[in-house]
Amino acid sequence: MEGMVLVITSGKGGVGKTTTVANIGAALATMGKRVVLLDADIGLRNLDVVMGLENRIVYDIVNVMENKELAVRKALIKDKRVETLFLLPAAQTRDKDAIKPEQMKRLCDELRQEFDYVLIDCPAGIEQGFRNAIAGADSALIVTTPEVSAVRDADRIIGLLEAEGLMEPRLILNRLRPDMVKRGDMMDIEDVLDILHVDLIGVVPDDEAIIISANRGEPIAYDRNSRAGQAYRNIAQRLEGEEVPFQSFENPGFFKRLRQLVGIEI
Amino acid sequence: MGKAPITIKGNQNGLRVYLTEEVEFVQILESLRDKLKSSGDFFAGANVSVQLGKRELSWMELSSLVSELEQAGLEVRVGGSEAKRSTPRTRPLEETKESTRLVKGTLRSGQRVNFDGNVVVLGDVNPGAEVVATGDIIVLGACRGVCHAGSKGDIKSSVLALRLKPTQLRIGDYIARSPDHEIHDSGVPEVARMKNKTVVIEAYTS
Repeated sequence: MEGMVLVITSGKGGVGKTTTVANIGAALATMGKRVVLLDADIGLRNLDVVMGLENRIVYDIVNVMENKELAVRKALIKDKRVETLFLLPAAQTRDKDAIKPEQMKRLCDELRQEFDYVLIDCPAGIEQGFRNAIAGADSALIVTTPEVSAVRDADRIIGLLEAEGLMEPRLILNRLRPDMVKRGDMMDIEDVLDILHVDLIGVVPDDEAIIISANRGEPIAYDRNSRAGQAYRNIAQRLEGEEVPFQSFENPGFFKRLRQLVGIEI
Repeated sequence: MGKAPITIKGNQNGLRVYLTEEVEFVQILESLRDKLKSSGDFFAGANVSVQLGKRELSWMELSSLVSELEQAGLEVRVGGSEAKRSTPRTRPLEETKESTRLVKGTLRSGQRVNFDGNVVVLGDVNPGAEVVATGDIIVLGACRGVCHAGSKGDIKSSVLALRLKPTQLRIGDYIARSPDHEIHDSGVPEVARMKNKTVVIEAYTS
C-alpha cells in the first residue's frame, strides 16, 4: 500500500512547521507507522537539529538529486529512539534553486513506496522553496499561530495551495495561550477559522518545554507529561482517522466550544 | 355647524360609516367615539365598512379608526375609496447594461478579481484580497479586504456586504479606509456609496 505524502506549510516563518513535522513524525512512528521526514528547507535546514541528528548527516537531499548513483536509502538517517522513523536532511551549503519541482515529485513517489507517511517540512515564503515542497504532496497541513500576521500569511498559502489542486488543507493552531485568549488579547480559534475556513486538525498550546526540547534535539511528542506533546500525539491519531477530543486548556467553555466546532462526541 | 363628521347607515349587508370630506380627522375620530359610546352594545357583532370617499387617510389614521370600531365589537372592512391614488411615484426598475461576474467561494489573501462590470462574491473577501469592478460589488459574506467599485470613474457605484469590514473601500477615485481602532461589528448588511464626495456607509434596506 502506498503511503501518504503530506506537506506542512504556513507561509509565515517561525510559527512551528519544523517542530510540528518532527513531533507528528515522532508520534506516528511511536504508533508503529513507517515515517520519513523530508527537510525541504534547503540552505536553512533545521529539521536535523530539532531531531538531534545533525551529527549523523553524510548525504543530503541535493546529493540524492544530483547523483544518480546515490540511492535515497543511503541518505536516510534513522532516528535515535524509534525504529521506524527516518530523516532525509536538506543541504545547508546550497539554496532553494538547487532542486526542481519535478525532482521532488519523483522523490516523493519513490519514498511513498517504502513508507506510510512522507512528511515534508516546507520553508517559509511562497517562492521556489515552497513550490518544490508542495510538488509531490497529496495534501497539506497548515500551521499558524493565533496572530493576525500569521493568519494573513496562512490565508495566502491556502489560496496558493487551492490553485495548485491541493484542496482541503487542515489546520494546526500552534502556540495558543488560553490566558491571553480569555483576556481578549489573543485571537481565539473561532476568529482564526472564521477567516481561514478550513478544518481544524489540532491545537497546540504554547509551552516552554518545546523550546527546551528543540534545543536538546528531543521531540516533545516523546514526553508523556507534556500537554503540547499530547497535542501532537492527538494530531497523529487524527491523521490515522481516529476521533480524538480536543484537550481542555483549563477553560471549560473553551473545550465545549471546540467540541461544538469540530462536532466530536466524547 | 356643518355636516356631521360621520354618518352611519345600515342596510341588509351591514353598516356603512361615511367619513365627511373636509372635516378634520380629529373630529372624525371624536365623533365616531361618541357615536359608538352612546350606542352601547347596539353595533356589537355587526359588519361594518368604512367608506373613505374622496378622503385620503394615513396609515395611522386608518388604524385608529379601525381599532375604535373593533373595540366596539364591530367587524371592519375598509372599502370605497375614490381618492386619487397618491402613492409615491415608483421609479422604473433600473437595469444595468453591464455584465456581472459571479465569484463562487472565498477570495483569499493575495487573490484579485478585476472585472468590467459588476461582481458578486458568494463567500468572503479576506484581508489581502482585492475586488476591482467598473460597476457595483456585492459580497454575500464578510468583506475584509479591499473593494474598488466604479473603478473607471462611476461614482454612483456601491459596495454591499453582509458584513462590511473592509481594510479599504474605493469608489471611483475616492478612497476610504477603516478607522484605526477596532469597530464593533454592526451585524447587519451594509452598503457603501458616495454622498457629497464622501464614502458613506448605511445599513442595507431593500
